[in-house]
Amino acid sequence: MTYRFRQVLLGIVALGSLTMLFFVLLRWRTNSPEQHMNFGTIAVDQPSEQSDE
Amino acid sequence: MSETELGQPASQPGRLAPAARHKYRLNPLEALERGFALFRSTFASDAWRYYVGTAPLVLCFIPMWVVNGQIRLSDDILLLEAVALACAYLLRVCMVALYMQKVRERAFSTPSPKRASATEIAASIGRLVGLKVILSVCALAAFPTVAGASWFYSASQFSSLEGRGEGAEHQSDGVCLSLANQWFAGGLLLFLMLAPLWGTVWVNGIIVAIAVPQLLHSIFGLNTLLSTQMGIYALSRSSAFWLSAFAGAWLALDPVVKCSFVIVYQHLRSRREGFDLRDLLASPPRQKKPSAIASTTAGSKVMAATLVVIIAMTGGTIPASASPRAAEPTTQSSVGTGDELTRPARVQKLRQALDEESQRAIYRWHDAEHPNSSSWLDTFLSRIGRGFERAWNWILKLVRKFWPKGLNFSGGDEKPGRWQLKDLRIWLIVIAVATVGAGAALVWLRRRRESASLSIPAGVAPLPDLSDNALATAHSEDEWFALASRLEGEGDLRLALRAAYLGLLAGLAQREWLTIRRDRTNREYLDEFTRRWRRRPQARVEVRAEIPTKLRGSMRQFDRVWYGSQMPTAEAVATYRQDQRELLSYV
Repeated sequence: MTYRFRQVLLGIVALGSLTMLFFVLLRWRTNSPEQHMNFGTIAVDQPSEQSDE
Repeated sequence: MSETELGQPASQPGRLAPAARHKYRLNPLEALERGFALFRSTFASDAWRYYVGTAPLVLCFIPMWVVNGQIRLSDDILLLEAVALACAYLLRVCMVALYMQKVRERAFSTPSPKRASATEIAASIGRLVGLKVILSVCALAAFPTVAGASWFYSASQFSSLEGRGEGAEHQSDGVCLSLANQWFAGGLLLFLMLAPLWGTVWVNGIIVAIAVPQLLHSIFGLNTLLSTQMGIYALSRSSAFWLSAFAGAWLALDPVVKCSFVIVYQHLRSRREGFDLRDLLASPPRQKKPSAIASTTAGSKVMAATLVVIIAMTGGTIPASASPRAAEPTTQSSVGTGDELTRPARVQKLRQALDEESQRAIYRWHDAEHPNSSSWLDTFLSRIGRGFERAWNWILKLVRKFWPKGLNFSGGDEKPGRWQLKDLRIWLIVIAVATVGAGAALVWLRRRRESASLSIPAGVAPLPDLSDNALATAHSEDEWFALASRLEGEGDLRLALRAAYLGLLAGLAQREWLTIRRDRTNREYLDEFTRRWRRRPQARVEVRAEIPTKLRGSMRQFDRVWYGSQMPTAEAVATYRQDQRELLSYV
C-alpha cells in the first residue's frame, strides 16, 4: 500500500512540476510578444518615390 | 503463467541455443523496418489510440502559444492553461502506453494484464507519468551528448511498456534504463537514423506549406495571405509556424518509432527470459497465449514418452503400435491413442513448415539458426554497433574503477578491509585534487581577468545596447544624443543614426507624447503621437500639422537606414541629429 501511495505521489509531483513548467513557458511567451504582422522591414524596401515627404 | 515463467533454457526444439540467442542482437535498421511493417499492419485497429491521445496536447498548445503572443493574459488564466496542458500530457502518456501495449499484444499475442483495482491503476499511472517526465527531462538535458539523449530516450520508450505492464510493481525503476543499456548501441544508431527521417518529413512539410499557396495562386489565381511575399515573410517570422512544423514531423514518425520500440522490447525480453517468438508461431491458431503453448508442447512430449514406455513394456513394436489397427478403441483409456500417435507427426510437420516459414526475409531478425548473407550495410552497422559497445563498456569499467567500494553508511561495528579503505582513500584523494585544481583554476582566471581589465584604457566606456531589442527609455534623451555624437565621431554612422532616433523617442516619451513598449512598431508610435497631438489643448488655436509630418519623415529616414540598405553620410547623420533635437524643442 505504501508502495502504491508512493507511486501516486510520484505521478502527482511529476504532473505538478510539468504544470509549473508549462506555466513558466506560457508566462514567458506572454511577456515577450511576437510581432507577427510587423511588415515594417518590408515597407522600407518600397521605392522612395512613394514617400510623401 | 507469465512470460517470465516460460524461460526454461533451450529445452524445446524450437528454441535457439543459449549461445546463439545471446550472440544475436537486433539490428536497428531491422527494428525500424519491422516497426514500419507493424505500424502499417496495426494502423486500422490500434492507431486511433495514439492519435486520440496526442491530438489534444498539440491542438491545445499551438493555439495557446499564438494567443499568448498577441494578448496579455492574467496569471490565473495562464495557470488554467498550464493545468489543461498537463492534463493533455497525462492523457497522451496513458493513451500512447495503451497503444504500445495493444500493438504488442496484437503482434506477439502476449497476455493482457489482469484487471486491476482502482488503486493499482492509479499507482501504475503515477509511476508511468513520473518515469516519463524524469526520463524526458534527462533526455533533453543530455541532448548535447547525443549518446546520453538516445539512452534516456530509449528508456523513456521502454517505460511506456514497463510502466503499466504486468507485474510492474515488482520490478525496480531501473528496468527501463537496464533495457536501454542492453540495447545501447542499437538505440544510438536508431536515434541517429531517425534524425534524417525527422528532417526529411519536416522539410517536406515546409515545402508543402510554402509551395501549395504559390501553386494555387499561379494556377487558379487564388489569393491567400501565403501567396504574397509579406505572407511568407510573416510565416517565416512566426514561431507558431515552426512549432507546428516540428509537431507535424514528430507526429508523422512517432507512432512508427513506438512500434519499432515494441519490436525491440520484445526482442530484449526474449533474450532475457529465453522466450522464443517461434514458439508463438508454432502454436495452433486458437492457442495464442504463451502459457497455453508451453503447456501443450510439454504435455504432448510427456504423453508421447509415456506411450512409448507403455508399448515397450507390453512388448510391442513402435510401428505396430503406431498402426491404426493397434489403436482401435478397446478400452476407455485408449480412446485418444490415435490422436496421441499422430500428434508428434503433426507437430513435426508443423515445425518443419515453420522452419521453412522462418527462412523468409521478414523473420531474419529473429532467426539466428538460418542466418542469411548480410549486406554491406548490415556489416557496417554491426561494426559500428560493436564499436559503440566497446566504448560503452570501457566507460562503465572506468566508472566502476573510480566508484568507491568501501563506502559504508550503516555505522555498524564491522571494519572495512584494507582494500576497501584503499579504494575510499583514492576516491577522497581524487576529489580533493579535483577541488584544489578547480579552485586554483578559478583564482588564476580571476587574476587574469583583473589584469586584462587593467590593461583596457579607462576612457572607453561600454557601448549601450543598440540592437532591435533596445528600449528607448533605457537612457535619457541627452544620453542618447551624446552617444550619437560619439558614434558619429567614431565613424559608425548607422549606429549613430539609431542612437539619435532612440533619443527622439526617449524625448517624446519624457514629454508624455508616447508610451514606449517593446512590442510596438514605428507606425504605432506615429499614430499615437498624431492622435495625442491633435487632442492637445492648444490644437484649437494652433493646428501645427507639420510636426507629425516631420516625425513621419524622421521615422522613414531611420527605417531606410536601419532596416533598408541605404548608407548614410556623416553630414546626413549630423543633420538628422540636429533635426531631432529641433523637433523635440517644438513639442
